Amino acid sequence: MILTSLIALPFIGALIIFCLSEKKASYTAVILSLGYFIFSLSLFFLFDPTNSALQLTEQRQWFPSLGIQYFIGIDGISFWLVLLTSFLFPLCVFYSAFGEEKNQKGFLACLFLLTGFVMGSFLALDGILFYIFFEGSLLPLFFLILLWGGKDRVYASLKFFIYTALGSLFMLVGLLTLMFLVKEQAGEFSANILDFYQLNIPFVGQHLLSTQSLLFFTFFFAFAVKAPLFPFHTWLPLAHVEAPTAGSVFLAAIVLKMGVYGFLRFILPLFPEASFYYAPWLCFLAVFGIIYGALMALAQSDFKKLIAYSSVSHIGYCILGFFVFSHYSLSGGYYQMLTHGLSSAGLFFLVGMISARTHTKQLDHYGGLAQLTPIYSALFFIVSLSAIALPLTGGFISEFLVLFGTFLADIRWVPFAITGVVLGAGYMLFLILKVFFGEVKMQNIPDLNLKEILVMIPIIVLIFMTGIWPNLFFKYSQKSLDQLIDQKGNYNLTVHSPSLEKHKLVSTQGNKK
Amino acid sequence: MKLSFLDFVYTTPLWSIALFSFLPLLTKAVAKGKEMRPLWVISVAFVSFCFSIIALMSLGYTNQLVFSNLLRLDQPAWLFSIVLLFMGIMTLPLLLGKKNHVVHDKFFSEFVFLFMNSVLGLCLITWSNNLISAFIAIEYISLCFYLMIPLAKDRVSSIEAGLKYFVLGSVAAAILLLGLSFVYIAAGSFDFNVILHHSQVLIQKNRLFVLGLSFICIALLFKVAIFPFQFWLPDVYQGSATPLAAFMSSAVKASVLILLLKLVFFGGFITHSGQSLTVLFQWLAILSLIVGHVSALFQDNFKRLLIYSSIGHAGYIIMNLLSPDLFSVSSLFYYLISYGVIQIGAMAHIMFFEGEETTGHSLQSLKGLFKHKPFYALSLTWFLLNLAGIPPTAGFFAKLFVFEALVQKGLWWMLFWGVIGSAVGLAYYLKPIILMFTLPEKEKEVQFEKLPWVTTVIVILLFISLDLSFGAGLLHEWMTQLWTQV
Repeated sequence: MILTSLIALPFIGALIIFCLSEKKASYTAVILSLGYFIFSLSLFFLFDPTNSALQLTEQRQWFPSLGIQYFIGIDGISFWLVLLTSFLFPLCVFYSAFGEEKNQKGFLACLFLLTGFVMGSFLALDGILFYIFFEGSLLPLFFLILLWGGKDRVYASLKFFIYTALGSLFMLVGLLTLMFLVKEQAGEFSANILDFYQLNIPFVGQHLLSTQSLLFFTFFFAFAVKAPLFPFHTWLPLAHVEAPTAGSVFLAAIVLKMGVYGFLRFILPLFPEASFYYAPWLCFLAVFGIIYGALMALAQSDFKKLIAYSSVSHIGYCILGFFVFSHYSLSGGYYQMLTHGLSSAGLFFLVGMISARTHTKQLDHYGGLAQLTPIYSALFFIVSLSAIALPLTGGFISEFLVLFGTFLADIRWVPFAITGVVLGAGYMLFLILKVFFGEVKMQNIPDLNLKEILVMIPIIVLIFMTGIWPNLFFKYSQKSLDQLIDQKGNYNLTVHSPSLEKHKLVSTQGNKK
Repeated sequence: MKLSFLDFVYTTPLWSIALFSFLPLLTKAVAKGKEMRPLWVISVAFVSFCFSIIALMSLGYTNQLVFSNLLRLDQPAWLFSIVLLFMGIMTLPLLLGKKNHVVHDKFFSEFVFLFMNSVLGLCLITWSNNLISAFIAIEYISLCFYLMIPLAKDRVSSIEAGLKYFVLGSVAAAILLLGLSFVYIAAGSFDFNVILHHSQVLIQKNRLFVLGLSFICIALLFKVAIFPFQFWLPDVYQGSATPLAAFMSSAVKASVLILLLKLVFFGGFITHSGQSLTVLFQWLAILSLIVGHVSALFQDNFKRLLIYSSIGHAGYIIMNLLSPDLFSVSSLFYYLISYGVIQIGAMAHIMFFEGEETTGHSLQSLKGLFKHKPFYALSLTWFLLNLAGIPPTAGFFAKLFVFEALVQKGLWWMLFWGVIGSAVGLAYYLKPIILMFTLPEKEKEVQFEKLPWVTTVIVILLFISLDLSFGAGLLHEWMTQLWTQV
């Protein structure tokens, strides 16, 4: 029941908040979201880290004729994403509950709805159920951008919605085809992911038009748009710039992870041969995205856009980590999801805090902030260190693991991926130089207040924790990650279905080692 | 023709409406032309529809042939009579919504009389088991609509709409009649069962039979407004009163499609006639989808936008009809029911804004609705999301069933166009939503009338569409079982 309540509680919370008065709504929302986070911590006791299988599952028939079920569960992969969501949720609520935004109540209700949908998509183990949550999460985010966004919000929200919805419509076609394949092979319709894993999807002659590769592309488009992978990223900077602070935080830290999570949950286990076959192309896109995102970030004059492009760069590491097929890089890619979630959330919070004071996001208008706002500057340094991937911060662990794994498996990508790290240090340090040092361009900017410091402290604590004590995190997810890829680098994607051992693929580099 | 007492028992739901419908007319005659209070007239219709629904419920779907095989109470007839009656009930309060606007006060009784008879005619279409009874039923509703459309107070646009519908409808009726006689010459009978029984042989041997069935198809596709027979639809629906347009766009489509399903598709007309006709119908579905959606993209009038989108939805519905099996027929039913509920719900919102006009209002008048009337903004958003097919709405499940049926038949290229259509649909359904949630530059009073009756309808339909979305699986399952039980 705990997972169902994790999905249902935000929806109930949204309803409660919508019925309350403006003033009461703020306090209630903070209390509810905090309670929700504490409630989600109970997963630590219920989840068994030594077990790689799906746990705490709940299964109920929903559409018997199509085999669509209400089937949810959690494993090591979704575990930290669920906790990341429930951790950032009260921070977003707390940050925006007492702001000056108009129509506070609706804003908070949207945040609650978004949390519910995101939580649902991380926990869903039924294809259609996943699709419903995945697509449903567009709505609250769409309204967050449309109602509380910046100047160009109409265009940004429309582009965001249509772009991502078109991508996921193709995934719907893929899901329906998989359901039909289950009927052909097992006799009955089913949208259960575990049934999907059992499928034998033909990949004849490594052909572009074979079933597996077409299905691969339907899912790939949906997740590549959401993640976003390089040529499909154009909606992201726009949406980020126009979104309100809490919306940006949620978008960067969690909603993008839904796309990356899709690669782990669907693409790798479902289409092993196709993933293996197209891996060089994906790695190319990822590496290109890493460099391109970093270069674009260097060229930006808008605070938020810079960080949005750095997201494109960082997400590239996740995808690169998944598709070079080494044990280390997979773990690193997974870890990057968490650390990027923390550092981007922190950066977007900080940008929101300063632009609420100065009413500008143009970098040219800033300068010498270190003298005016010492606390703010200190916090910004710390968070940006994680984005640069300095040792002791989480970003270092994840990028090191990705690069190390890539080095072992396919050395060709390493020089390019490393360029991204160097450029990453470049744009962050230039940003710091421009904004915090040099000539003082602004006056009378108050430093962070208690509320804002309270928001930032948990994020900074976690940034260090992920950097100093990564084993705490890997302890919970390693078993499930090992299922995807085993210690020797053997690409073992079909462990969910022992009958399909013949699909076991071997990464050449990994084996030599 | 032999009449038995049982025939009258089984047709209770139909003739009771006819009897009830005379009540307002008679009272008006007795009162020497003085109009009854509209609420009373409407309640007569309401009682009559409720009575028919109860009668249908107690009769059950018996597959009974009545009046010497002219009519047949089979599952689709039973189910869709209830659905059509329900749509009628939902339209009644809309007629009350704006007194003196939907219809001239002097003719309210006559209008309701015609409306009740049109509902009866629509039910009759789904019941018909004979080409003659089908033709009569179609002419019956057409007559009612020819009169009802221009009755919407003496306005130029509604008279123009009525005239247009009349002229084009008459042509369609002539084509239907021609096709009907060709089929009679070829098959020697008007009876559906006889025709369907011989259809496989006749289609291959007899050119006249194919020609006749094609004419019948054209006439029926005209009524459903499938491309290339869709040109009349926007003008006619825009000119007619909004409640009437809402009712026509959902109910007429549903009942005529049931007839099309019974006659043409169950008869294997499409499958027996070889590849070419199947491809033709596939292209008709795709083209009406594209034409509807793309023309809706460029509409500035909200009413016209919804009307064009109904052409697109008709495309999805026809997609379901190709080589029907149990699954796609249930999907079709689900689509028709949910679409009816959604379309009436969305169209009802127009009534708040149109003021004295019947021809709808500019999208711009929706601007800032969320600030002034958050409830209506949210409900309209919900219905539009339904139409766009965003999960977890009923519209999404309807589309899911259509797509799954296409996957089962391996019609990938149709699926592709279906997806593209949905994406285009998103673009224009989001346009009014965005306008509702943006603030107008100048603080001006939004033109918005208080209409308690319309609000009631919207609330009811809101709940039903919620039920439809969460009970989609159960409903679909139940409709599949409906076929296997008898």
